[in-house]
Amino acid sequence: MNIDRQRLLVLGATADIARAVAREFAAHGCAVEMAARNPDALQRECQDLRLRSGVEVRGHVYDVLHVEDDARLLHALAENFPGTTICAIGLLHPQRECSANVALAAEVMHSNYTAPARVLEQIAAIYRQAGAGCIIGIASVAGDRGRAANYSYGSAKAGFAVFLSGLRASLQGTGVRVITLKPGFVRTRMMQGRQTPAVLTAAPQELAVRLFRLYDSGANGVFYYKRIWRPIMWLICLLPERLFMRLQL
Amino acid sequence: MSIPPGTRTKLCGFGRYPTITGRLVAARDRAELSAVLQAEPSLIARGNGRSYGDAALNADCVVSMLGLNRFVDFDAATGVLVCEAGILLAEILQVMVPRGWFPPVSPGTQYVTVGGMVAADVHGKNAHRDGTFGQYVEWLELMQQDGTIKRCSRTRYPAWLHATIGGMGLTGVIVTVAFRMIAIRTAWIHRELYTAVGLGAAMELLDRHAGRHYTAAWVDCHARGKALGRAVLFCGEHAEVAALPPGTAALHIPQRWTATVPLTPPCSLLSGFCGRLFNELYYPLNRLKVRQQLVDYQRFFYPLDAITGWHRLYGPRGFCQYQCVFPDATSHRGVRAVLQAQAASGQASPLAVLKRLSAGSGLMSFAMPGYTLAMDYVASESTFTLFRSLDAIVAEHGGRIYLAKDSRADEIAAGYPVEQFRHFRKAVDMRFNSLLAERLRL
Repeated sequence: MNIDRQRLLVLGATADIARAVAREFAAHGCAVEMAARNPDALQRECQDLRLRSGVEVRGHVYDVLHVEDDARLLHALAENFPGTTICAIGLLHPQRECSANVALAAEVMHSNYTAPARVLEQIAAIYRQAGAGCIIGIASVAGDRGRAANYSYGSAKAGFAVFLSGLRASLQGTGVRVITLKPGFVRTRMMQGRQTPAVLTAAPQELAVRLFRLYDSGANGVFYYKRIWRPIMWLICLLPERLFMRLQL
Repeated sequence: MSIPPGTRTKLCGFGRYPTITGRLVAARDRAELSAVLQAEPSLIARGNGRSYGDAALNADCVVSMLGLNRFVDFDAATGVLVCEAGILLAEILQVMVPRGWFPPVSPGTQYVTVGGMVAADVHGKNAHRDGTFGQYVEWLELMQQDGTIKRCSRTRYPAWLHATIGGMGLTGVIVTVAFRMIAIRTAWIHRELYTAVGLGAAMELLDRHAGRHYTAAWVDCHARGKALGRAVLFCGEHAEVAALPPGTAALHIPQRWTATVPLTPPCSLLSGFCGRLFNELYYPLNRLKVRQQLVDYQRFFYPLDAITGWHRLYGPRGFCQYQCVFPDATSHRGVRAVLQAQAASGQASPLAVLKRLSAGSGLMSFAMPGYTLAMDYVASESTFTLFRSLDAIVAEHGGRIYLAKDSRADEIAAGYPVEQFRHFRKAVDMRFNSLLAERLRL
């Protein structure tokens, strides 16, 4: 399959982080393939990006929870397959609701982990065969340790991060990179209604700039944004379970 | 459609006076916005918080429009840009200037939203010649109290368009705006500088240069007696390609020097001695400056944008701007009386701008043919006392004050057709309400 290095595939393209990343890559001359579930929102984002950047932008209606959408998407991209894929799909519901409604909890887990892993596995196979490509997965600091406040979401992000880590290891030496980005607080719709400390909170655009730099420098590994989250999460992971439970972080 | 959750947070305008604790709800698209509008009995839309006072404050609910920031369409044949109302002018400049297009009217900062520019019917350095932003609006989409959208243009719902331009967000929420841009050849401005020894000379200079594309005068508020109103006048024209030094990229400008004010100083650094020093030096220094110069559009239009948070230098109490306009017939007397009153009060403004305006394009527009004077002061009781005396001067001379800058007037100076405007507000159940509207009983 022909891999186009100057082309980006964005899964979950209407998410705030995805918008910012697409804009940043487009500003560097990358054509963008946007995939998202809601056709109206997708169309709006595509048009916005087209007008802003002047690059080629195509939209694909795609629901990661529908297995049959995978083949359709990959087929539509086949001719000029994007050399970089970013998966920014994420779904967060309050833990109370997830705990009370197992179907909702399952949807959260499915949307954040199993479904993205399924499609990324197929894309990784294409990249492996071509001997080139870069997969970027947006995980979360919530996946580093299970908190009472969001363990359905956190556990799914943990699974996703481990999946990316394994994928990276398996692609070692093939010329394919996997970047795991774990954002802390980012001013997105998902975080709306929550007050977070300014030093720990990033704007989506800042994250996008950092991510493009990582991509451009040939990075391959796990990264945090803001960077201060790495030592914070390291410390949190060191806490003994009994203490961690009591702290209710 | 679920209603986005709100955040309880401190809210204020650009002057940081007054400050309230309120609920901020962010809408990301029109479906969410519609849900909010139907659920909230009283709300006001908020752009980037660049109006100075309480125009974008509501004790019950403030809806942030910054998420509706998409480009929708651009027609290179007509120059008409369609965008969502929450987009910043800075974003438009970033995208459109390299393609050779410029906003028809630009206020003194690029960090305003297009919705805010319409709601305040803003003017710029070309106000004497080209009028206000509202004139360039082809159509706009206004979301009403029931969440439905009214598309207003000069042919459909013209009265609603007229009331919404300059309507301070009280007729509904502006969702989408289509406006005409102007074509430019370069991103550079040919700037000329003149000094005037007193107010009479300054106004004469402004009149003499009324044919220029852009003019504005900085006025020394500390000067008294004969020197009262001494000024530095800036004129500008969009430069042609031939005027640029060889090798200059016509539509791209160099990266700009920027700085950030990291914290609010415990007292104002701009008033009192420092303000006086600045004014004492600014006038003579400009006399020495090069009279004609090519500057990039950022430096010409948005000099203060290079210093993020410059307004924090006014200290923790925040500041207020007094901007008024006088009709042509009384302009000279009015402007002189205001300058005299504020100089006599002993609290001269560190920054003051004098401009010529022409008519505004909305029902509640501030602009009218005549002179406008804008002055900044630290928010304090003595400032408010001074402002009340200025209000009397403005009323006496048939002028009016700029709602987007006001944070404290008890009643609206004559000159605004409030009764007529109320009719539109009642038609949307008075759902759209701000502290400004309550204070001035709009």
